[in-house]
Amino acid sequence: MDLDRIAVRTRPRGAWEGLDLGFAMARTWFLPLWRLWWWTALPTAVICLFLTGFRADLWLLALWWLKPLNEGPLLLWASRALFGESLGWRRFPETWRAGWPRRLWPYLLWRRIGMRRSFLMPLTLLEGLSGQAARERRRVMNDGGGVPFWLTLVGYHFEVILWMSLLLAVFFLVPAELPRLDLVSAVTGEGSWASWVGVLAYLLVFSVIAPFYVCAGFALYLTRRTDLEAWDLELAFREARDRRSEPAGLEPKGRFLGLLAAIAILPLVVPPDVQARPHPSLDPDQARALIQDVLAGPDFGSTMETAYWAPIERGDEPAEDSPVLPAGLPSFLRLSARVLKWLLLVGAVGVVVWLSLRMSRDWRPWRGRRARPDRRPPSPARALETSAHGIELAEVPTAVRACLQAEDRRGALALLYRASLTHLETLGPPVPDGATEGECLAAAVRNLPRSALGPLEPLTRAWQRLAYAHQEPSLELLEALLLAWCRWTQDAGASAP
Amino acid sequence: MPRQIDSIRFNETPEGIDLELRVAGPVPRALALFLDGLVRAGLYLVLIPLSALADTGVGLMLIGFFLLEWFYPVVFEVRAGATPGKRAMGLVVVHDDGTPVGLPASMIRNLLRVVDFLPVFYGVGLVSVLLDHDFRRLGDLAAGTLVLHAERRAPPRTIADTPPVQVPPGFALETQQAILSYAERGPRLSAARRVELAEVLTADGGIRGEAAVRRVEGWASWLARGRGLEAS
Repeated sequence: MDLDRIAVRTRPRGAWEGLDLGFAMARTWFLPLWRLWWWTALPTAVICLFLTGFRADLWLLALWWLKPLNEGPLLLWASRALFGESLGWRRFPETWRAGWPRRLWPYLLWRRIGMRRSFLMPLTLLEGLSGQAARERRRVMNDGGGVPFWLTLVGYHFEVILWMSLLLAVFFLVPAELPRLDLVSAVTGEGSWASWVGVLAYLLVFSVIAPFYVCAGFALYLTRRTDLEAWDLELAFREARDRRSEPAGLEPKGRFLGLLAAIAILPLVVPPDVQARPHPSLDPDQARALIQDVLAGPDFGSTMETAYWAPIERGDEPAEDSPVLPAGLPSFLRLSARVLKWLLLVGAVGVVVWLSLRMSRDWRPWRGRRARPDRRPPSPARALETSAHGIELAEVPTAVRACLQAEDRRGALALLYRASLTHLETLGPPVPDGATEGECLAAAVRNLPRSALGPLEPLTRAWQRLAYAHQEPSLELLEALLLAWCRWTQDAGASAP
Repeated sequence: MPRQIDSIRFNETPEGIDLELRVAGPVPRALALFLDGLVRAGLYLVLIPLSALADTGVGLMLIGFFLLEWFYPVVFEVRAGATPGKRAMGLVVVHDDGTPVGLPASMIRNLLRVVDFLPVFYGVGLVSVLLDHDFRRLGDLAAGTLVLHAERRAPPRTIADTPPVQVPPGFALETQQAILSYAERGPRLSAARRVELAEVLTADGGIRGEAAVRRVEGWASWLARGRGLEAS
């Protein structure tokens, strides 16, 4: 046993974790283990088929009873793989011989129904004890709790679950046109072809679960031994010892210095007759050539193969059919290229000059910055000022009537609305800048008594309809609004002190 | 040398520390599931007498069944990190970066139980757990969760009172840890094995037999307690 080559990480684990390690091992080695299981089980299965007289249920029972026979080689394979040795398929006979020792008999007889089979099998198979010593050893190893028992119990259930899942999956997924799998006879085994399907499915499930079961038991065994014998400590100590006994320090740098020192003192320690002496028959030039030869030899340097993509060289092919230019063309092309170059240069200079002129026109630092244009939204209070007419409040009725005379309903209503906004400002409610028509109206309703609103509300509605829906008000409505507006402004003027 | 087989998932933190998550395999998880099934069956038995209250009772009972079926694992996982069955088996559910599982992940992994249950008794889940290198079923894969062996608080370990001996230079950190571990686990090893292990380290210095054990235990004592014991 060479602990240094162990393929699993040795560390103290709990028993359940040891079990999980076994499942990880089985997953890593699943394919070879599975193949080995079939190679072992197929001959047995064929023999049993004849012995049981082609009865599916008996056949399955026989195969189930003979399971330890398949598990021996698996365990042996796993124990070799644990230390980095892969038993290829050429060495199957050897695997079988070692995996079926005579000590395996109890597992096929009275110990077959024991619930710690996969855990105890490594003791029998790999340690090779017998008699009193084996009993003693089993007692020591068994002290680690009931996990091997649970492994076997849960393993059985895994088999049943997988088997039922497999049958049900086939049952569900086979199209209705094809012959249906009779689930009842597949499970109870009434001699139909369905029962053979069920039995073969069970055999497949055996083969899938067996590597996991064997490896889990083996890992439990390893865990117990790691616990009892502190394998992880042995590995750590050995590593420490090897590192300490290495010559000339631990670090690569130290090793390098040691090498240099060795080279430096080499002439002192080699025997005198091996030391380099001038060769009598060689002059320095010949020696240099010889040195070059030696250096060119395969002992110095190294060869390296690299693969890379390179364009395929076309050689001289294009030279044959390359077009022959007319005599004057090259000089003409050269001349036109030169002209083009100068044109581009002149153009570039011109663009630069034009740009700088343009910039100097805008750039007048002595004038300071220009005032920003006023971008505030117009105040409703200044509505009348900003109107095109620029008229006084008292002239509004005249102007509106003039518009009405001219059939300009839009102008009339606009003027009336703006005038009423200006009037609203004199009445007092603050109207925020940039307020919409609706907001102006809402502010007025909030702040003024109902009687002081005058025609504001119908006026606003009429204006909104005109402005946003292009519904022109009737002339009668406009007249009525104008009258109401006149009354409103006069009332306000009369009530004002 | 290929990577050694182990049931550990490494998770590197931004600080460059490898957290070791000890992922739990199918057998403990199946047993935890079975225990949870027992607990749930008990709760169902408690709910069944409700059906004596005619239609209302049956309605209440069915609502209770529904809540138990879908939210029993979620509530326990979000509140305590594990259902009672998992707790009994020493398991805990976490996100795959090792943080405690949250409500969304727990919901997803438990809603997908339906898929893992197919075709019967978690057949799909079993296959997924056997195939995946972190023993995750489909719900775990979708939610990004892991089922781990919970860290059990170990009883404080003691080292025998051996006169400290100065550790020779050149022992790496791992070796020092192994020496301490040797002193802690020594009483559980057989005497011959203890000597054999100690001689691995001390044979170069010509120390053998019981003296080797005392020497390594002295080193452990020196590492654990420093020279304080010597001075006092």
